[in-house]
Amino acid sequence: MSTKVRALTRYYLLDQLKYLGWVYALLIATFALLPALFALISGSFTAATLPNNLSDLGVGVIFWFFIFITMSLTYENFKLCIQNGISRRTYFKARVITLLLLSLIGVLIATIYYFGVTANFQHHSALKALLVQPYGGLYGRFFGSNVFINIVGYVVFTWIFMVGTGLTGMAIGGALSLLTTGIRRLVIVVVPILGFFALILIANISSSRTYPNDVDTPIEKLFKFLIGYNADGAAGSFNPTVPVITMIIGCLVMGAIAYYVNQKLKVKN
Amino acid sequence: MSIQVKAVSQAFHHQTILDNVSLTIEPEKIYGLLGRNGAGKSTLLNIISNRIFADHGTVTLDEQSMRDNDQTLGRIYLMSEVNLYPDRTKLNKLLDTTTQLYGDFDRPYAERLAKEFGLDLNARFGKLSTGYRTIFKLIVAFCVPADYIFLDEPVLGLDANHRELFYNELIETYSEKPRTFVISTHLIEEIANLIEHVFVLDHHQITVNGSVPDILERAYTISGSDHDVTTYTQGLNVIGADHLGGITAHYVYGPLQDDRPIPDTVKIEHLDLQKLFINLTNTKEEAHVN
Repeated sequence: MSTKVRALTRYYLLDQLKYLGWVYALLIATFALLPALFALISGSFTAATLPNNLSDLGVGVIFWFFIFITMSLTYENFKLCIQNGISRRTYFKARVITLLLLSLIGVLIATIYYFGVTANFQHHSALKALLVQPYGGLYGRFFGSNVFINIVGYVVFTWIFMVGTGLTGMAIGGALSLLTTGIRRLVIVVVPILGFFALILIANISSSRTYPNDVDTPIEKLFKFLIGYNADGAAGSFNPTVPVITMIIGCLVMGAIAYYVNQKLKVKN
Repeated sequence: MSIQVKAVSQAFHHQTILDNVSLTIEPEKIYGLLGRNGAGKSTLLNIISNRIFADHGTVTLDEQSMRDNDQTLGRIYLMSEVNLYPDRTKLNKLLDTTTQLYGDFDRPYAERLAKEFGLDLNARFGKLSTGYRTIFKLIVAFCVPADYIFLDEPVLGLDANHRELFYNELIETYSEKPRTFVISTHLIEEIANLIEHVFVLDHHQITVNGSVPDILERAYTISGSDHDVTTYTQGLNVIGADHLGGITAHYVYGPLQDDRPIPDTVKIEHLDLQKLFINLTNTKEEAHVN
């Protein structure tokens, strides 16, 4: 790693961690301290109020939003880099390394919080807590009866997902920054609307089955393949290999798009 | 050892901004980059510093491409009108970041300059006035370990006192640690005594490229009675004229034909840089640049 990549990665990582800290502090203040204050004022405050509020803050979901938004701020970060004699390639490398490290840290924090705090308050064992998660419901028993190894699998799976989210943010943010202000606004408004109609269209196509009831439509087959569905396996024992490979391919595609648009970045007047 | 700009062309929305521009920027010199509004000065500086890409042409530093190259980009600094620093960040933090990314930043000098200019380093960049934003960027420009410093409108928003302080500091820092400064400004009179070499950008091309003494040596004001002046300047490269009462002044850029007798009523003086620039780039009079 070159000196500049290291310096820039360090700068970004510390900066993003600081912002992440602020986001979590805001989360605690908004969803735990403020309701506790209201409860105190209204007289409904008990000893369990604050711990209950703190037990389920959705740290993982918040981190997902955080990584997407911070990684989509491509142009804002680019401006500071180019002002400081940093090339686009170095900028991209540093952001990707930051994304990998930050995602791992965020996933570990969310996992520790979920199994250490949320599961305890809900009186769930580690296995039960894992199995009630979307990941656990599909793959929570894939690595056998050892809960710890299955939790490690969950961490790796979630980490790849977060990296994919960040790379998607980088690609979208970079692509938007290449557009003029007017077209960018148009895209931000039009694309979600088109996406919504596309989803309705796909749902309609998949529901208007022309197949016998016991035969899957191509979309259902694709979906089952992508999630590693196993007709013989019980819930929690599906195979995560295909989704992991799919996510890695998705990461590579998004990474390539992000790199391409990154190389086209230029300062606007 | 130089920055070489070779055959650079740039157009925005099918409008030519730079047309086949070539120039060389040598080490440890102070340059003036002059041009009228919209001449393409900022575009040229943005291309040199790899902030935008030229449609055609190349920019190299010591024969290494400037395009996406940390080694060359780290040796230049462009202080521009466009603010690229985050608004919410405090100046102290920005200096830390610059130190981290450029390395070898002269922090004590930056703090001394901030004190001299009355700049509060605890302020946020976005809260500064135009003048103080300029001052902050100038301070960074003076303190980064770059060999080539480009100053695009370096006195934008500065009052007369701060401008004076800036010019003094520029001379001082250049004397102590010689490096190249390229100054792009409209206040030509103020930098005329500072710059050693001048580029004039006009009609999308470099029309003047030379050392200031050499250029001024070839620039004349020929004044006197209208008839005598007009007779004397026939065949010379007259780039402009003024008339006041019965007195006419012709501005000539290029050699005088020394064998011509000079009438007693005609006075010949050298032009200053600003007057030369105005006449060379005046669209009303067709200037002919040799």
